[in-house]
Amino acid sequence: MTRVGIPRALSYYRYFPLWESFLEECGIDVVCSNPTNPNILDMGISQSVDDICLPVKCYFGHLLDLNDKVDFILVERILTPEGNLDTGFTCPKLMALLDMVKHSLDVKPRILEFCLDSKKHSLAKALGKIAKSLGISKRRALQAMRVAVERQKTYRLELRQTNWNLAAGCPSREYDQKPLTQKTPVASQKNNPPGIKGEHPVKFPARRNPEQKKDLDIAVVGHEYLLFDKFLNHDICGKLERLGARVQTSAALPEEIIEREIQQYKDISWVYERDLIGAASYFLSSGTVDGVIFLICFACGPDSITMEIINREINPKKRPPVMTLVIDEHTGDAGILTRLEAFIDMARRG
Amino acid sequence: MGNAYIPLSALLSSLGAEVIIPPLPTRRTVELGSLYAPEFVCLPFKVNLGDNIRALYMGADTLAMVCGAWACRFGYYGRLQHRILRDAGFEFESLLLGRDSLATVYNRFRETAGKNLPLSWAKALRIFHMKAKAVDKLESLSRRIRPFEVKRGSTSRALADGMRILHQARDINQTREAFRKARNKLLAVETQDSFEPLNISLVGEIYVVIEPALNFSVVEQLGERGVLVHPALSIYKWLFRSLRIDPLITADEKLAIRRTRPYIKHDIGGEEHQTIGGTIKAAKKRYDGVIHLYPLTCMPENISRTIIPAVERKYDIPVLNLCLDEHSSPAGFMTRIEAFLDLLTRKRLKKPG
Repeated sequence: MTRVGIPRALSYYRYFPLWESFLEECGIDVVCSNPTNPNILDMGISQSVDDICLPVKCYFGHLLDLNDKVDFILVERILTPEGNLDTGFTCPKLMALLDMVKHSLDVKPRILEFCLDSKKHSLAKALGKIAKSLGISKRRALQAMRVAVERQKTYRLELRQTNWNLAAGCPSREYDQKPLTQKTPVASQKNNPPGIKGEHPVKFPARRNPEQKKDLDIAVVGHEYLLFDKFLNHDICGKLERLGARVQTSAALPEEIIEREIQQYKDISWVYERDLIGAASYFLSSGTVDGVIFLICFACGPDSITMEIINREINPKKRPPVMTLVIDEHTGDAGILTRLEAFIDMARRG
Repeated sequence: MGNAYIPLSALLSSLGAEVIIPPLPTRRTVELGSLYAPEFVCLPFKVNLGDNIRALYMGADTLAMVCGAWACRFGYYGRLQHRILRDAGFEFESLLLGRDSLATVYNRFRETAGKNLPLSWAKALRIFHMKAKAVDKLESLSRRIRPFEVKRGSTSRALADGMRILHQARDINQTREAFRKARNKLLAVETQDSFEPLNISLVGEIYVVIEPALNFSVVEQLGERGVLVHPALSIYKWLFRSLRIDPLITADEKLAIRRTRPYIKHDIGGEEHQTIGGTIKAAKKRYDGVIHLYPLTCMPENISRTIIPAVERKYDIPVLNLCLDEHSSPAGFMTRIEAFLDLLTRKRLKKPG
């Protein structure tokens, strides 16, 4: 059976349910790279330019991890993602990711291109090209597209409704066999969303009092490929939970809220940055959180500008405490923990 | 940016504005800019911000900037820099070309331009074009002369004198005369041509390629070491390519884009087409090598940098990639370049025939 590999980085955290459903409906075996680990990161770093951003280095590592295991590798080229604001574009690195991979890495399997340009065509059509390269019949492909687009919609909705608890890890079915709505570990949440009960599947080592009450709401704002990758972000959400905070993320905010907020900030060409600015604006001005943490990568081009825009153009009357965490491949776990502890102490004091 | 101040100040002073030209960017400019700028924004942003601060200290009351919503960060410079400066306490008016409509820019000079605004604009644009072309021709000539100069630095001195005369010209006739004088000064430089110079193309992000303060005067340094430098970018091209009035520039851009397409399929907002297209052009012209300059974290250039090794292999041309930021030192920079030149010279000696 044909095996298609999907690197567990970058757009994986946004489109994996779409890709997995589509390929499995077409009868194709889907293989993901291993979860990020020091080996993968080192491989990626050794094959990339020094000053490119960490997520891209991580992506290269994941791609190379799949080199000998599959027949095809799915590589994305996201020009304009789907959404109500079908204008603007993503980061240049995402737009040219495929080019970088083709011309600088020694990729043994054949490359499948997922090119998404919502200005020109729909999500389903983007899948059609993949079907063609794999020789899937048109009828089967159309059926698979329908299932995949539905699955993708469900995933985005569930992401918001369950306020995805990031201690659970990555948003894929293959992480464990339970459907998405039942995966959220709930022992750590005071008010469980309806219909969910159960115990936390993973025991974390207790740092502070394991019975620590959750008395703070902290919002973490950042790109999904940083928020969801526990290795890259040093398990920031897990650390925050153990320090007694309920974590919300920018990835789980409804699109309507973000669109409403972004009306105040004009002329942002990067779509993912609009999401960040909208989320930041909401968290900073809504009064629903006790603290906001911005998680960004050193060398992220758009984020360097966006951070300044957020810090200077968003001016609500009462701002909760804000911290910016800049991470790169040299960041140490202890450093992150120290900063988080200090921040939580500050947020507790109000 | 380089000698862009000459045509730009001609444009603005023809419209009656008093133009304040900040001093050449120095370490101090970079420090000032870095102080206020976000930590890992690109170097051009920091230098530009530093320049603006110095201009404000010198009495400027309006800061002008091109802006837009593009893939590269450059479009955000105006908005963000003006915000940063206002937060720091400076007061000034913003002229953001792109965000403000052309009408706003056009009317901005109503008070200063004299009775007939359209005529003033027409005259101003004419002298702007003339001076820009003159600057380009003089710089190009100096690059052809410098490798052969007998007295080290004589070409650069002649060029600086010529630019000064050109900058002082107030109207079309004076500009024509100034260009003639400047050109003669350059042609009068003593040369000897007893050797075959290396040919090196200079590509990369536009600001670091053109601004001598950022690239440690690499064009002069290479010229003084007997190298014919061929920058892929120039102020003239940059100022006029979007206006499409020069068919040579349009053709050059189109060719560069066509050559880059197999490597980078979509426009990502920077000069990546000139970087990759320029490298391929250098290979086709059988130049000895290419020097690729870019600021730290520049997105389009990082992408080009990742892809350049494939171009090097396919077209068989050596490329030296140098990354610049505010901590770069001239000594380290020149050491790498000199090593590269040594390698190219040896390669040449080994070539049969």
